[in-house]
Amino acid sequence: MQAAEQTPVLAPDTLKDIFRVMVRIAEVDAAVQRGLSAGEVQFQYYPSGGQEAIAAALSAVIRPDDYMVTTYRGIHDIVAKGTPLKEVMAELYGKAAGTSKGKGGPMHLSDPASGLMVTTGIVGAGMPIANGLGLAAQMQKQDRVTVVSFGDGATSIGAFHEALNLAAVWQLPVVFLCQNNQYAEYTSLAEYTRSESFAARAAGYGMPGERVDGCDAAALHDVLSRAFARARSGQGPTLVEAVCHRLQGHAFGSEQEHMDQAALEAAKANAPVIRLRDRLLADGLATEAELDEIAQAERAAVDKAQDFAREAPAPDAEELYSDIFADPAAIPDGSCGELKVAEVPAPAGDTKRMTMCEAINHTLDLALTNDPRVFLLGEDLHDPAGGVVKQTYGLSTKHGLDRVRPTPIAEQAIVGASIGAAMAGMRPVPEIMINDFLAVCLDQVTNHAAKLRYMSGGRTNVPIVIRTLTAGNVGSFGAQHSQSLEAWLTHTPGMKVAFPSTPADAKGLLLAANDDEDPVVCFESMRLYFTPGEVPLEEYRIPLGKADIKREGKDLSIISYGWAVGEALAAAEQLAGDGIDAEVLDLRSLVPLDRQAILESVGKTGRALVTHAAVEFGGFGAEIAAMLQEALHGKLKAPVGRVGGRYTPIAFSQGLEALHFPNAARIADAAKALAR
Amino acid sequence: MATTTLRIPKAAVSMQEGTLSEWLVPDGTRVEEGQPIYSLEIEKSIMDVEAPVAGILKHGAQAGSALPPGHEIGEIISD
Repeated sequence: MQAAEQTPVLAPDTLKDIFRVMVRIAEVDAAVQRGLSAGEVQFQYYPSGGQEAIAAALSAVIRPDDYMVTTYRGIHDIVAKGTPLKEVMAELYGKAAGTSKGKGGPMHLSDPASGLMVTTGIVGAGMPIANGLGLAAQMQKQDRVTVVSFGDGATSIGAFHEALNLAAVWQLPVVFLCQNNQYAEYTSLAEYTRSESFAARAAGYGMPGERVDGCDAAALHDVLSRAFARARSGQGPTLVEAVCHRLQGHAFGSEQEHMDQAALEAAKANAPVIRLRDRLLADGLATEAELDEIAQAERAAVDKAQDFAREAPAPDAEELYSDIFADPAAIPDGSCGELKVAEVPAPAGDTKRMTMCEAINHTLDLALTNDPRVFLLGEDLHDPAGGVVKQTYGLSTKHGLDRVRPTPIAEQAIVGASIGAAMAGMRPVPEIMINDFLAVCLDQVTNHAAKLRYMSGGRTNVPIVIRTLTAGNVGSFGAQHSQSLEAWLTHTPGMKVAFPSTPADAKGLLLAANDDEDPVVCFESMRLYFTPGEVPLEEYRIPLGKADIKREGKDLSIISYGWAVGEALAAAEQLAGDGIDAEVLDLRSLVPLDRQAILESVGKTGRALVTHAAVEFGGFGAEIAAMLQEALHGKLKAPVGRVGGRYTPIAFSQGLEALHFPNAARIADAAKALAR
Repeated sequence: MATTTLRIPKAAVSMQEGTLSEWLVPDGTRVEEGQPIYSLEIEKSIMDVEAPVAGILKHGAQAGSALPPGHEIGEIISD
């Protein structure tokens, strides 16, 4: 602990301010534990006792406009950041006046007004998001610093590695604050790592690391001041390891037998609040009366906040459906009514023949040109490669590497950075090269991007557009590059999903997604990537939630999206030869969902067949089928049919791969069976 | 005068009920905030539950009762 060797000298007033914040933290903790003990409230509470000095010292270094990301054991950080106590307490009590209207709870407080951007319940997940907040500040040329707190346990998870590496590469203004309290939940340090110092790992990433006594307010202040100064002056990130000791079990009521009892007793006797109080008195910096007065004032303020929380009303039932999307009507099951989508006239003017790949490139170019908040990030996006299939070729040369950013191969870091930047006013368009790779960043996509609006009671939102490609049914990509995983995303409330079937639709949907205040995943299909179509050159948007009849018919509705639409159209031609007039409805977006178009089409034809590339079992088609039988029971002339991918991983050998996927012949056969 | 209701706390995710194994302070006695007032047995561990406020403790449940979280077991009347 190099910094503790010579205890730095701090102005007495600064030390007293730190003491005041420490007392406030301790009082909040005590008030919460009283409420839990009395059985007044019931929730999982992860106390931060023993870590107060870290947050209190931080409060003397951090600016109100600096960003904070913390974790579920983060009440001390939140109090130190200056988030209003009444709103914090009300959130813990699940009340409407809470920071998240009672919808986030103790693990998900956020209050952008005080700079508290995210509290996450997922270990380590805050770090990639902190990078994004730092990236936004860097790109907006602001001197804001982002601090992200995490426990020692978070040093074992992959997000830690991805985030530190990216922060160093991009020299982001982020302070990684590891609060090493000796335990990862119920598991001691020695049981989960052979590292003797987490700060020492910083060197491996090419950033400074400092290890400090996490109970020594003055030493902490010193180290944090240096880290913040580096970040603020463009010298990049620092990893600070503050070594302390947790003063109780993992959660309120938890056993403490897993803890080293002698170390625990010693830590309690030398608790940060006691230590600073003793120091202030011993150095003659404060009198007992003065410190008692501070304690009484803080107690009174905390009591007032707790009384407020107790008396405050619970959220109204309507809150259940608010803050999922900017517009509740985007909820795809119709719970909040049908989405009103404006009729958009077909684009006039010149068109150009482009492949979907070229249309994507052209659209990204437009978005980058028209909106300075837009930037792209992903693997290999920059020239000369310009993307693995040249989808972004030329864009980094034209718009610069600041706005077309190549990244390490680190999907959590890519999506996390996008989330943070979006929360801070940017419009990131991350690329997850192949949609199968969503599996390695699904925590960022579904636990964070999709849910932050709800978990914050609408105080934050994440306007990102994740572009991702499926390489299915082009031969030779095999089981890990060929899936269509949209159902993973449609199953997570808060995420919008688009899946175009033509170059022109890809452009209009991408531009609409880019305007959207909610996160959107835009799927792209390798199978369509190199097939040309006419694309209007002007800017136009295809509203999410607006399906398109690609072929009119009266006998049967084939409902599809993505590359399967082409197969459906080919099937319709075959069916026409057999005297069956099929309509092909291209959903274009799955969330929001154009329920009205589906019901109108099937209401007219009386027969429906859903087809998609994704595995049929548990696929999105099942949702459409369920919706149709609920809405049109008695009017359907036949059961709703489905043609999707077979229940197999996707084989490499082309013959087997082709057997997996739907094709025109399978669709036509199924349609004939329904029309009979 | 304010009355604070005492309920069995939810002290673990797995906790379905706890046993109020012993009142540590007699009925009708004055207690201070933070003073242990009863022992709660959950599975095999014992937790001493502290008074959330100062005042006169009124027992509302017998020692030995196994009760679910949230069940009322008494109150503290503060001045």
